[in-house]
Amino acid sequence: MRRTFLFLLTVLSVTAGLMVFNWIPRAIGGRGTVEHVSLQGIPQRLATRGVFRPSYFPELLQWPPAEILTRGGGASLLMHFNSRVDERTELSIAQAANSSDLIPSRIEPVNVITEKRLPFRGHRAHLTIATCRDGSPCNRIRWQEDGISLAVVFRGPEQDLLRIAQSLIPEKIR
Amino acid sequence: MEFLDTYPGTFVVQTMLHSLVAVMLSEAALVIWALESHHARFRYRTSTIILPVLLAVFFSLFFPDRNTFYFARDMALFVSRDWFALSLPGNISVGWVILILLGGGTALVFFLQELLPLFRNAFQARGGEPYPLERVDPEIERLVRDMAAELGIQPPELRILEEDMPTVFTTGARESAIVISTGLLETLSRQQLLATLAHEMAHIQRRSNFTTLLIFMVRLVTFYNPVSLLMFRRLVQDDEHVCDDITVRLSGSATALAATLRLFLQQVPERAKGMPEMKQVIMDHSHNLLLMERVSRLEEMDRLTDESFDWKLFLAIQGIVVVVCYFVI
Repeated sequence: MRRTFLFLLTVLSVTAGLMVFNWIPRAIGGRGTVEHVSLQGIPQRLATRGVFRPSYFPELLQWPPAEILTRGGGASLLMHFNSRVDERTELSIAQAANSSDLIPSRIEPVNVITEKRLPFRGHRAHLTIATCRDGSPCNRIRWQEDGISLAVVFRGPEQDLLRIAQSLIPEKIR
Repeated sequence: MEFLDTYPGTFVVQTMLHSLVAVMLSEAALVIWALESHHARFRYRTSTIILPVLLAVFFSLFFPDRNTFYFARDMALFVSRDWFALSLPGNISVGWVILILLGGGTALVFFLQELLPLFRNAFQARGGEPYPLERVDPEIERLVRDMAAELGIQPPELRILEEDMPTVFTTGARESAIVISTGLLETLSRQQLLATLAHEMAHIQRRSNFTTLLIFMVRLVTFYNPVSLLMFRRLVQDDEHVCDDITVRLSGSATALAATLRLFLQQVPERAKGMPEMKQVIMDHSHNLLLMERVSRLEEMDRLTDESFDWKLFLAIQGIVVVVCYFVI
């Protein structure tokens, strides 16, 4: 028993050591992803620049966002919206200064059916019609607008995705 | 960070991390359960080389979500990607510095100390005459047959190498023979010769050539891994200790083997002139240190270690290693 206890203590120590080493780069570099309870808590520069919020919002989805993530002190923002029915993530809206800084969504197109470029909101957008890993529809549209990269992913029909994305308006918070 | 998004990149980083976790937990288990048997140590250390490679394949096939952003954020204990994203002044990635220093240094050592000599020996051996089969003393042959029967192996052929330098080794992975130099035959007493032959037969019984080759093939895939490099050297030493123990059991004398091993100690000059000689001095010194460790162990031996192996404990430890490694990406 004593030896088993000692070994479990060793496992805990190794685990704790890994967690400490995991924490170091985030603490030094400050590049970690921060979760916010509400949009009121997001970094000032993002709040001032504006958060893209949809004015068309399917009834099946819950407002406010279930998850709000920022990274790089507000350089990137991601909002996840859950279904009222089963709390599953159905919609994600991401914005960032560069497309490479977009925070990945919990719902990602995995099995691509078709991809196309199309004119959208006065810009060229990239539309992906696909399914998620579980086989459900997982469509995404990405484009650049006024120096901001945007990506909307929706577990629903293409028409609804485009309606949501079309309705996005930058809104200054506080 | 594109390299980290590729399968080779993930493989390189995760095998290094997983082998580190495996070594920490395996060595702790060896200490906590006082597993002094080199037989046990050999198995634990072999698993620290092989398991990380198997895990890399297993995890990528059956758990592809481990490499996603949300696994890293919500579940992982350690995310190597964050260290690659951390920069020193001059925009130099900390992760890359560590990887190049450790991985590059290890690869260099592996190439210079292990791979190059292997190729050199392979080329030198080609076209050479096989060692002649010569009869030795019939009494020695009878004792070799008796020891082979006790070990449960076919009696190996004894082949003579015409050379003054004391040398003995086994050849072949499937059908083994023992090659012994005339220089050694002339130097050894009967008891020492028996101990020497018993040691080589222990290697044959343990299929050391085949096992070492197999593990070396795995190491070829992880040539950059410093943990594999260190563990391989330790388990080779463990294998020698296990064979020493078998020899003592067979021959009944630890001192005879110890006296034989002393013959293989190299004369190391006090000063080296130039780099090639310095390199040889370092190699000979290292060779002598390893031999003296075995000699001291044999000379101080008062009892043989318990050779029983607790498979349940071993599997339980490996299971815990797998679980911890699952959360290290």
